[in-house]
Amino acid sequence: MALMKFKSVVLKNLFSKPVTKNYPAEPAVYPERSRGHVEINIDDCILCGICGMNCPARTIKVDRKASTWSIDRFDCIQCGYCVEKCPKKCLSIVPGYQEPGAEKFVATYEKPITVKKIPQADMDTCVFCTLCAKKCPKEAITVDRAEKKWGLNKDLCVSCGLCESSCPKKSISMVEES
Amino acid sequence: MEIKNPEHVIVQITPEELLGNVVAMKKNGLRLSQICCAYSNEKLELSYSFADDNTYDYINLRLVIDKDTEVCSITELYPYAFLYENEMKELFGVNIMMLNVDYNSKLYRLHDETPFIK
Amino acid sequence: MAKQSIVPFGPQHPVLPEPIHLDLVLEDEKVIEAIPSIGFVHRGLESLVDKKDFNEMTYVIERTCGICSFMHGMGYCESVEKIMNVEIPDRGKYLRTMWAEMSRVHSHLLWLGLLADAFGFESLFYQCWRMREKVLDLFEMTTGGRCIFSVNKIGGVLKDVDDVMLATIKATTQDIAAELRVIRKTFMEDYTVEARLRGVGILTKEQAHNLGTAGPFARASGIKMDMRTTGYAAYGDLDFDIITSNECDSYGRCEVRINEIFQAIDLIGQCIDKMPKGDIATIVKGNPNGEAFVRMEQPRGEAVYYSKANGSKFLERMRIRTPTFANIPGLLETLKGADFADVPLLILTIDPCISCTER
Repeated sequence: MALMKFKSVVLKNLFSKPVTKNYPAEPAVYPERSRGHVEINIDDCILCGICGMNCPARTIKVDRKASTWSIDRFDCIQCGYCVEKCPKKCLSIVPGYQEPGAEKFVATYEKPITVKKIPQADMDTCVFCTLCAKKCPKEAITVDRAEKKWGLNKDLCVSCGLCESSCPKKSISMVEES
Repeated sequence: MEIKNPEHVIVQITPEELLGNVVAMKKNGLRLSQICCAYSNEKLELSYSFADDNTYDYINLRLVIDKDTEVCSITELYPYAFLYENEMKELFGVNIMMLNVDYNSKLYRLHDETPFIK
Repeated sequence: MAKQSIVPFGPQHPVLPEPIHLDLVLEDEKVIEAIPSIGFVHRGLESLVDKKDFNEMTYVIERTCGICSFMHGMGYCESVEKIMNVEIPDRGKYLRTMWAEMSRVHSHLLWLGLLADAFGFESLFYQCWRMREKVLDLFEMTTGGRCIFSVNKIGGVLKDVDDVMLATIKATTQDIAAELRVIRKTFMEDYTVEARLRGVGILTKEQAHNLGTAGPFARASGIKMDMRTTGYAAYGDLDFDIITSNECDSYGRCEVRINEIFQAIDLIGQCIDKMPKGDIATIVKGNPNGEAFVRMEQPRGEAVYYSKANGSKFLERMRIRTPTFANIPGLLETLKGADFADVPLLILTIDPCISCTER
């Protein structure tokens, strides 16, 4: 019978609990993977600036001189590319969205200035394979196979340690800059 | 499900050959899938893509022209090409003649003229 | 002869989620011609290729639109992978397919809700969107985003989905299918709804072909065309038929989309059952050099992705041809001869996505 077609639906809705939540009295629950905001473990950060260079929205700024890492959370698009790119894995994207505000502001994290560490190649074991130069995100390492020379541009180096971990002969070590 | 995925074909043609080729496509009952333009090495590259919905063939007619070369509109044969041609005209400044619906660079609301030409 | 008048429609209108403007030439209550005007949300995303490198572009392309976002990222990645001759691991392909089909469920449910809203059936609209919410929750659980997933990268996907999540996805999508069966009755059999949809906006098979329409809009006119037949991602291994309807009207378009939701849920099930073990991404080295076209079946129809690279890390040209762009001429044809009161409904039946169209 066409009449009273929605009777069962109406009765069900009348006696069942609402499908909506009583937000904000009842807080929203985000799943573990929810991409809310970027968080940084500043102690592990080496201020290499790779996150800032690769950020599609250019919202991360790294100031090596002042030793700070800053992000404008209102510009961040929560893509997670910085997390993907971080060589030290000190960035993470965690649940919890940036609360709206009347004005944009920049969140700045300061890292205590420490002595810079730079890579040092052991010329006895180095085979001039150029792997370190290829891995270097700043192109600070130059390797000349024919001349058997290994050179480093100290100003460009960001102490990320990628060369150390990529060296097949383990001849690179990170030493404090003199 | 049977997979039909023929290789995409790119055919190089000159502006004079365009209409003849498009007539052939129309005769074979192909659908105009898209027209797009690219700018590289001071040349404009126009791709007219035609799709066959039974065999899933995909044929691209490729025109490589200078910035001021005149290209005849294909809206006489495929009336719905007017959106693509207006878009190319506006973003790349392609010199298209005899458009059936000409927006006179008012399709998109742009600040600069031909912004895709760098 | 009746007096002609021109009524501007849009860019702001309750039925339009996004801005499109139409000048409707009316004769009494009948539309005799419609002149479109777009360009209110043109952002020039394509020209960003010379500022963002080809890896970053994935995130830009994804943000073209909030509904088809996953498929845009996937289409872009596949086009670059095609240039670089990269074969992504099977698990990556299956995950992409699963997410793509989930996107279809979410997009079609959104459309069904909007359709119900357009013909004034408010509670049906709520029901559709309530169901869609479940799909969004699944997205948030697996990828971390509700609309923009950011899980694609050149060479595969970024996040793996474990067995517990897969089981949840399967169970939830089955629930949605069960609920949709109830709602389907209202859409397909209800007297009032049928009266509002049947015979409105007729587009014959011949017209649909001659106007170059794509996707469910074309399939509702009996054109058997579905880009998934080309077997991109994992579609080659899955079993499905092309859903068409011979109604050629708004009712047919609604029918095709509802059936496609059931089909998508079935495909999600197949993906989960056949999900291979292994890596989710391969390492991609070097820069692309060459050009490639990729065609994909988006919820709204055939989308074309064209990438052209010159060996540097910036692409030379990236183009997206979205289905709505192809469907606008078809829409103008259906509007001719329609009642003025049916115009909002007809605009909705092509499932317009204007942000995608203008990029």
